Amino acid sequence: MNNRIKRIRTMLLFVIFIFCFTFSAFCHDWGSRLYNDTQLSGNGSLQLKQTDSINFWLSLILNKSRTRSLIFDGFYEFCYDDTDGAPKNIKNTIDLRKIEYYFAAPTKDNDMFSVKLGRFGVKDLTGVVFSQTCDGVEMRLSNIKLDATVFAGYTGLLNSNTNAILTPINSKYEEDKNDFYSLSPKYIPVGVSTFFQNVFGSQRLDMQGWGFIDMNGDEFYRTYAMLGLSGFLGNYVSYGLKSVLGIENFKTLTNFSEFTLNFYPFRSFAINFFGNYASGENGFLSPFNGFSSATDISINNADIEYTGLIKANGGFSILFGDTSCFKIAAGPVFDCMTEDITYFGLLGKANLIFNFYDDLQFDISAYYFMGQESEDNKAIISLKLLFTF
Amino acid sequence: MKKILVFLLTIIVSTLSFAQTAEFITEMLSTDEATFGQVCYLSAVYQNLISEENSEIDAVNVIFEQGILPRNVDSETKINYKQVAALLCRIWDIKGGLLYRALKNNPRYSLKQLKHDGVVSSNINPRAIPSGVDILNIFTLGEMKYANGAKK
Repeated sequence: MNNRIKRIRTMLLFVIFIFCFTFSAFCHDWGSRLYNDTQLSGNGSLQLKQTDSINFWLSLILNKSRTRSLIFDGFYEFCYDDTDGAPKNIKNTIDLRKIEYYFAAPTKDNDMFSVKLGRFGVKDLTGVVFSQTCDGVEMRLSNIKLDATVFAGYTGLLNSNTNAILTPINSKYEEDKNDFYSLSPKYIPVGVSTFFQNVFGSQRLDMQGWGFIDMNGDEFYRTYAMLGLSGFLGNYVSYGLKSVLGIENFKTLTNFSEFTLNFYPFRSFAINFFGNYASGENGFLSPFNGFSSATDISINNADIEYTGLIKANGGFSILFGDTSCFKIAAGPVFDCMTEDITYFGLLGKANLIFNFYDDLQFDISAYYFMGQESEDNKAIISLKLLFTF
Repeated sequence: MKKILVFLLTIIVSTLSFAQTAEFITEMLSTDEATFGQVCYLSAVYQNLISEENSEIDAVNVIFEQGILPRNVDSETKINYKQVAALLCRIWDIKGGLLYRALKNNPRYSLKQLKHDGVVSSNINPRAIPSGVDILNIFTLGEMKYANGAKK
């Protein structure tokens, strides 16, 4: 196993070397991004976590009409983590986020058929079930009324350091966290998604179906059906409703639902309401689990996934010209992992994004969870700096 | 529909800006691959570096003296998107990104700035040769975007 990982790491480094120093001479466009995230978090005493990364991308446009292209995107990340529960203080990660061949062909009646092949980002309707990089193929047909996409992929060659996938307890998958590149659990994700832009007036209707076939020998199969409706109600109100029905091993039924409601009373000012529900043992429902690991709330010494929680919050956001945006929101969190729904805590978040220049962005955010049990309290202060060139 | 509107707008704005250069506009509309001469003329006239009666060769010479043209180019040399961006960005007073400001007139960051601001399509190949209509489209969209900050 270790030899295999070493071989993959060597191959990756070789491929990146080739891209950076040889291929760039022939590429049509390239760019880079420097990112720093400095975070202090904890309950009482604050502990440091700092992430620095550099990303490099290359783009090759293969024909004059720009319907065929090749895109490569890789990064190196250094992470210093002094928080309690961190498996190690220093972690170095290297990964290819994108190796994508894109092909588009206009068909009759102004329809557009396109294919993506390779490694690229995939996201489901909610961003809670399947949101990560994946190797695979995506075919899309779009026209003025309909947009339909089919995706099939394989996760076994991904880097688990950057793509955390939820596996069952006692999974046969063994993770090697002591390397730049650690192979992910093996699944075959398959998805079908479609949306209609103008139903019920100008509302958008989304429908998606996702299935994840287990190749690790765990016999753990997950399928999800998703429905979403979003749009504007008059000139001052927008909304979004999303619901996911999950089935695990064709036995248990789970649910995740989310709503957003935004009022725009003035220009550049919005009042926002948001809520979500991830089922626990509630009636005929079982605890909800997504496929990609995603944090719903962060409490002291733990990041809780979207499972057995109800969250509601309200707040507002203000835009200051083109350069900055301030957002603040707060609301209660309830534990619904069992039949009894109990108050879990109060969550508050504030965020200021400031674009010094078009290519230099500064982001400061504060997060506080005040738990029903004081040992769950957690404060996070985060400073992010992004520079693209 | 959008293309037609942009096209019509291009003709109107361009005609208003250069009433006496109808020939130049007509030539641009029929050009498949734009040249340094055409873009330098557009940039130099708009910056009042030359008069409308001057030739494209005069325009290239004036811009060359400013030290922003590559060596070995003449008015008939084909021009790519990066080079177009560097020449046209001089027309407008663009605030821009940090690197755009630091490396003024750098073709790469001039084009990135125009892409960022939606003046040039984001998937344009920087080394591709634009047509005359493409140049007029960039000019018109730039005028609309940066009109308040134009040097003129």
